Amino acid sequence: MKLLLVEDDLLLGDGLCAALGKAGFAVTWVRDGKTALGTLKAGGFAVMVLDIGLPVMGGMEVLCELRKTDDNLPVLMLTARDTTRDKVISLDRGADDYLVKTADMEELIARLRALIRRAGHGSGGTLNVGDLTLDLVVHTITRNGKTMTISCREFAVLRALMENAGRVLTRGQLEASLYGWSHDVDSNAIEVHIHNLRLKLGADCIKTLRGIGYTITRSTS
Amino acid sequence: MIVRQRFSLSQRLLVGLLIVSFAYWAVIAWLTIRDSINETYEIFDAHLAQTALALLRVTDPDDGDHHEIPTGGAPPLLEEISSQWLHLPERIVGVGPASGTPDGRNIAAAPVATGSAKVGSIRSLHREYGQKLRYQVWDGEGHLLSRSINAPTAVMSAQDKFSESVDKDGQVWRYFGVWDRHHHFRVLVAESHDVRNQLIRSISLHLVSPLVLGLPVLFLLLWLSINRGLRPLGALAREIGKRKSDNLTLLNADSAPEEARPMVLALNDLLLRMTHTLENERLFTANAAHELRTPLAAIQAHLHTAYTADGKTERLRVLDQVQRSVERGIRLVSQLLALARLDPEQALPDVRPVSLGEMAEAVCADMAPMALQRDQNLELQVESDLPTLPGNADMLSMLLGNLLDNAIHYTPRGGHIGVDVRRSTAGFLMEVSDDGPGIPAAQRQQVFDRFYRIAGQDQPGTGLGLAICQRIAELHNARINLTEGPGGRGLAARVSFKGL
Repeated sequence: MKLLLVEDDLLLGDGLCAALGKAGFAVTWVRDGKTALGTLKAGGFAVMVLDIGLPVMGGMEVLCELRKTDDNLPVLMLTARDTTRDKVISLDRGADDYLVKTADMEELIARLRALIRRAGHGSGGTLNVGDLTLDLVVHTITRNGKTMTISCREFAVLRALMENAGRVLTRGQLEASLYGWSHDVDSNAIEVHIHNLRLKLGADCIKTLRGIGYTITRSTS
Repeated sequence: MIVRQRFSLSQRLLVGLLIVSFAYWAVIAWLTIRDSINETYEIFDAHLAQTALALLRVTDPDDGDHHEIPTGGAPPLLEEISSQWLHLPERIVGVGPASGTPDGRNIAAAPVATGSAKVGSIRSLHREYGQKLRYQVWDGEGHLLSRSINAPTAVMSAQDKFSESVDKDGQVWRYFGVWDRHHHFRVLVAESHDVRNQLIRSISLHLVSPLVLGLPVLFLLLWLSINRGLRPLGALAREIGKRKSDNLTLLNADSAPEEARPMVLALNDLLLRMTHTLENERLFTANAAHELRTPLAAIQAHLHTAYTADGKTERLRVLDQVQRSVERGIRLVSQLLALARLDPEQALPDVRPVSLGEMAEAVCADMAPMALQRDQNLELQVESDLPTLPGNADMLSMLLGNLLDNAIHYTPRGGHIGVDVRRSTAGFLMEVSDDGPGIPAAQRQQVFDRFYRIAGQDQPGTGLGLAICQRIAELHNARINLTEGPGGRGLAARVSFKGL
């Protein structure tokens, strides 16, 4: 999968290049905004990691130029600034995700994969976390070689949890993933779906944090 | 482009003072001239009347003795009053056969024939003035008995007492006509207005010219005294101006002029605060650099080991150490950034109604993976239907995040961490409790100091987390209390917000 990395810092760029390469991306690394736009014309990129503070042409400008040309390439902004305002601005300008520098490598890779999947460049239409495999096309879940069918709503909840494996999703966030199905979600709808999923997959696969939310850990076994 | 003119204080004062004094002068001059005009008129009118009466007495000293004076004949006693009225000689000379033109313009030629040498010299002195005065003496039947050479043969004015008219040359004349007691003679004296006007002009000129001529002198004196008056201000400005940027000693407020003292005091206050801020900054930077050096030194040491490490296991162990040092550096930097952002805030920015419950949920969800890695049990309890709190959501998240971070780091594996958001008697309460080692009561205040760390810790703390919490609480008018956790174990950090 081709990935364009735009980062002017030599040390960080080199580190990211190596880590992303190891994770299976074909990384093209450029160090300023103008070159980035030129390289993008060649096409074929699945995702772009864009630094905001770039020489000559800033990351925001690159993003604006890109969106002007109606390019829907998923863009993850990488920046040293960490206030809510900065996040809101970059998401408003058309960024798909936002990470503050010094973020964990694993998180960066997971988010990039999620972006690619959402953009439809998915790898065969399945989602894998630990020994769980979710088929995104036929809505089946496979664990320990055993394949089960799940309802649409259960699928939506499980997909959200698996896409964000390792992170904790609040009930509100999970409810948002159901909005496609129904606008007034029951106050305990999520609990019901989680309960059903646990019955099918085993009690250990989804973890509850009381008062906070639910999570599927990467090391689910 | 800004074209606005800027005036100095001296210029403003000078212009103001000049305008005021000039206006004052102008008013005084106007009043004085007006009064002199009135006075001049009164005096000249009195003079005119007196002249007429004197002429009448001369013409008819004994109740009509001179009724029969023939027209154009010279009254015999006119010379006598020349000593009483200084300006009469002119007319005495002029009196005689009405040979000249009615107006006085030919008067210079006329007297040569009749006047004596003495009278001629007086006339030359008063020629100007002589042309401005005329008289006529009429009898009761309307015969002209006598007149000055420059007087017309027609009646100059039919009115008695004072009257005025303009002659054909455009000269304004003022008349005084009077009858004798028996109504035998009528004396009519006329005087040109020019006489009065000249006097008034001369008075005005004498009054105004020194004022106008004195203006430059006044300008100079005002300028000098203003500059002298503003000298202390200039001295103060020079004292401030020649200061080096690192000189923050206070200004001497006692030597400053009264008007500038509030400014000096305000400046001193500013200097004091700047000194304080700079001192804090110096200390902070030194501490920060020192603290950052530690993880960097650790990385360097571990990397050195990594290069020389024998087996893969050994290398992985060392890299793990590098990872931990890096994490510590990252934490330190983000906390330094947070403090740098919080410190200059005087008031809370971006105040919006914040739902503490939702905020706590989001922060807990963010931090939960870290607790899960340590097999800790993280639990959140939010009282239902809590109203919102006016505050800065980013800062409140950071506050709770730091408290949680501490709890997760200092609580051993498998420990329990509880977050509780509820109402209190005074407002809201946000509490993070754990069953870790806690903090000895004696150190519960010191842990809020920057870079303070409890001795004997092997956790990668920065000593800044609680200082940040304290600052955010301050900005929200809230208080942070550290006590024992539930059941007298561990630590509970309680943030009390006022107002509900």
